[in-house]
Order: sequence, then structure tokens, then C-alpha cells
Amino acid sequence: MLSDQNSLHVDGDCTMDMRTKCQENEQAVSMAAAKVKQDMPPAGGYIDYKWNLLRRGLSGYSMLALGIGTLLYWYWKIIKCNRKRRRLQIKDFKARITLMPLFQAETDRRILHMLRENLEEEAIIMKDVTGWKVGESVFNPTRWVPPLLVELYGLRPLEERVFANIMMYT
Amino acid sequence: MPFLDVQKRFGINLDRWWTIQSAEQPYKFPARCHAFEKEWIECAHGIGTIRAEKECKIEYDDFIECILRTKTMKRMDTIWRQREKLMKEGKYTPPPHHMGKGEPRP
Repeated sequence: MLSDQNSLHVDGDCTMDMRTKCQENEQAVSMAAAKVKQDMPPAGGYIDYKWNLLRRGLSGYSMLALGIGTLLYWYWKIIKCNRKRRRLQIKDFKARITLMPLFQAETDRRILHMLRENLEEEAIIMKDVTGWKVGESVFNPTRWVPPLLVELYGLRPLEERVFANIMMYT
Repeated sequence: MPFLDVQKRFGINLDRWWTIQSAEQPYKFPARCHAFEKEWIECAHGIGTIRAEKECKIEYDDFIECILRTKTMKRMDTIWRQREKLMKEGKYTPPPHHMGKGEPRP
């Protein structure tokens, strides 16, 4: 039926234009649509479609200010605490500096004692070897050269040397 | 550049701290052979390699000995061998403090 109305050839009347024919078409279509059941919004529109947030609590700006204020406060606390730690660290250093001569003297005594023992042992061991000067220094100037670990512990068992090696670096 | 000391001009220390052992170190930690190197450099500076090799041989030998300790190790080696030989022949027993049983000292 619709195709008949659309075509010009069926009527045989060339004076009817396309616009008139479309208006006729639309009336026929809307009348046909009222008969089909479609999914439409409820009558009166949707109720309560706006956001239903509660108007309570702090505003955004004040929350931001609270957060930043808390940060700054605790930053200040950290700064103060670090300064106190620095003061305590200086106290530790002072104690170490005060006691350093005593420890150094002890270590020096111990090294000299061990060197003396090594020297005596060397004299006993090498007394049969010809042309050996006991306690000969390998260096030309007669300066104090801090002895090597192997010089101090050379005649002792290996564990002592290993232990001393570890203790040197702790 | 030889006449344009860029590092001194800008007060920066890019590579002066690793040119020699005796260079300025942080916390003033000295090198192990600081003294020997200082002596050698003071002797050999500015007189050319050929002359320095002749005139500063003593300091140079000491410096190399301090670094490599060849003479020290050779000496210790001789003593060790002699000690082992005597111990095998039974003529020598090390005293207790050399066998790990000495009295403990601080």
C-alpha cells in the first residue's frame, strides 16, 4: 500500500510532488506507531533524578587546609627531632674523641709487644743462617712504618691472622 | 691546559683527588704509603725522567716496596721456611704465645 503511494508511475499523475507525498506518508506512519508497545519513561518523568547528597561535613577547601596544616605540623616535629638526634650524635662523637688517645696507646703497646716477640723468635730461628741480619728493615729511611698484618701475625696460627683481618675492618 | 688552570679558577675538584696517592682526601685519610710517595715526588719533581731515575732511586725503591712489599714478603718467606725446616727436624718448638695459647692481652 505504501509503495503504491510513493511511486509516481502508478497514479499516472505527474503533477504531484514529493513533499505532498511525504506528508501523507508521515500520517500513515504515526498512526501505525501508536499501536506498538514501546519502552517509555514513566508518566510524569523520572522523579528524584538530581544528586541526593547530604549537605554535611567540611567543605573541600577546609579539608585541604586541614590536610596541609597537619603535614606542616608534623614536618616541623620531624625537624625538631632530627636536630635533637644531631645533638646526641655530637655527644657520641665527643666521647669517642676523648677516649681515642687511650685506645690508640693500647693498640700501639700491643703492636710493639708483638713486634718484639717476633724479633726474638726471628733471632732464635735464624741464628744458623749465614748472612742474616736480625730485624733488618727493608726500607732505607729509619722511619716508623706501620707493620703489616702478616708481619705481626706471621708466626702465629692462621685463625689469629684471619680474626685480626676481620677485626681490622669492623 | 697548562696555563689555564680551569679547576682552580672555578674552585672545583674534578680529578685532583685521584691523580696521586698523596692528594687531598676527604676526612684527611692518609694513604698507606703517603710518606714514601711524598718523598719521592719531592725528589723527582721537575728534573725529568732520566735524571730522576738516577738520582731518586732510593726513594723510588722505598715507595715501590711500600706498595708491593716484595722484600717484606721475601723476608717473611725465608723465615717461614727456616722455621718449618727446624720444626720438622725437631730442633725448634714455637713458644706458647705463637701457638695460640698465649695470655690474652687487650
